[in-house]
Amino acid sequence: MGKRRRSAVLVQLDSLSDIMTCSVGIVLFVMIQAVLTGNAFVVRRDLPWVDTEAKLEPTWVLCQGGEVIPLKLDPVVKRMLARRPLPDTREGLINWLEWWQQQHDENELIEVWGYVNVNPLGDVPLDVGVKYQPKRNIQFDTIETVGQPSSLFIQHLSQCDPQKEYISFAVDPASIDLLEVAAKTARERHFRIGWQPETMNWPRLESLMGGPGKRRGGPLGGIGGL
Amino acid sequence: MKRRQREVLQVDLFPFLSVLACLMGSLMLITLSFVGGKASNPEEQFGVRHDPNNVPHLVIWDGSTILVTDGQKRVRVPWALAKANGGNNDTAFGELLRTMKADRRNHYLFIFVRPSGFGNFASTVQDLATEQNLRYGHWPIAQSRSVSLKIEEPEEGGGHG
Repeated sequence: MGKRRRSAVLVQLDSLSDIMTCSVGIVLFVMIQAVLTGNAFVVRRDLPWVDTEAKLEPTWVLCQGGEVIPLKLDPVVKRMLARRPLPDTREGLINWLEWWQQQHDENELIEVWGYVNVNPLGDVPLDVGVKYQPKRNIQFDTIETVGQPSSLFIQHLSQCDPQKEYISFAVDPASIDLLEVAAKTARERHFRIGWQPETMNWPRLESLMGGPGKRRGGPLGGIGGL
Repeated sequence: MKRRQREVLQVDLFPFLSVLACLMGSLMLITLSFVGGKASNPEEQFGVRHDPNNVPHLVIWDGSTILVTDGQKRVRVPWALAKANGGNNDTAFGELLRTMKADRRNHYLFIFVRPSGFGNFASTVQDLATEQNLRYGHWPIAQSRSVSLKIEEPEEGGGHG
């Protein structure tokens, strides 16, 4: 019996080589195209300026630590002072402070309490004011929830008047993206917006004795502003 | 005489194909990483319609220096130099302020604030702009995001409100 001859399978690689070379050419073309049109990834925005002549009052909204915290401090303070005006004696101030510590309003998003800095040598208070901080048991809006109709922020906007108020955001470095979403939400509801970079440390002090501070900023107006 | 067997020259394409496949994979990786990088960190281009009455001048504040942009030209000026003599100095920022003050009604300053500049923005650039009675706008921008300004020519027959 003769030895069986081994048959070799010959694969013709010419066509595959053509396809591969062509594919490399296409990929090269795509790469060059991507490099040349790299600037296509642009976000077009407007550049509004600060409208210092607007006759609108700021309503503060804090964008802090990735949360939107509506801050209505003035109505709370005014309501408390209407119920019990600020006394002018040392004894009265101590009672006033004790009274304030006992007040709790479940409907408020922030807790506020009074503070008095009394001169140890006399009855004259050096400073009287309030301390405030967001309530810890409240789930404030995040970037995912701030635009939802049931969000605290939108509820807060519904209590404000765009003809009289503008939304002024106090923004910390971690909340820039959040500001974009919150500002868009406010603009859609016809509010003008402004912002200040600020990192809040809690509790925050607000003096009731100081006069009006230096006014900075205002709503953004002009091109791109509402 | 024994007939001489014809020699056939055979080219083996297999190594060539391996090299090609490897090259294609590398090119695809480079392309994808480039496109992905651009998409995840896009340049923000701020488009402003051409308006001779409202000419923006773009600067970027990072907490210690102010980057003055003028078209493709970008000059970084340390704040200590930029604020010297109330902004009336020979730096690029000083020149910009002079241009703006000469025609306050038609020019305005737009300041991008990097997170590193949040802490002192109000007491530095914003205070100077307020004191010099300049028209200005400001907006935060991520630390590494690049920004540019594009003045768009108005379309023929189209206006904007």
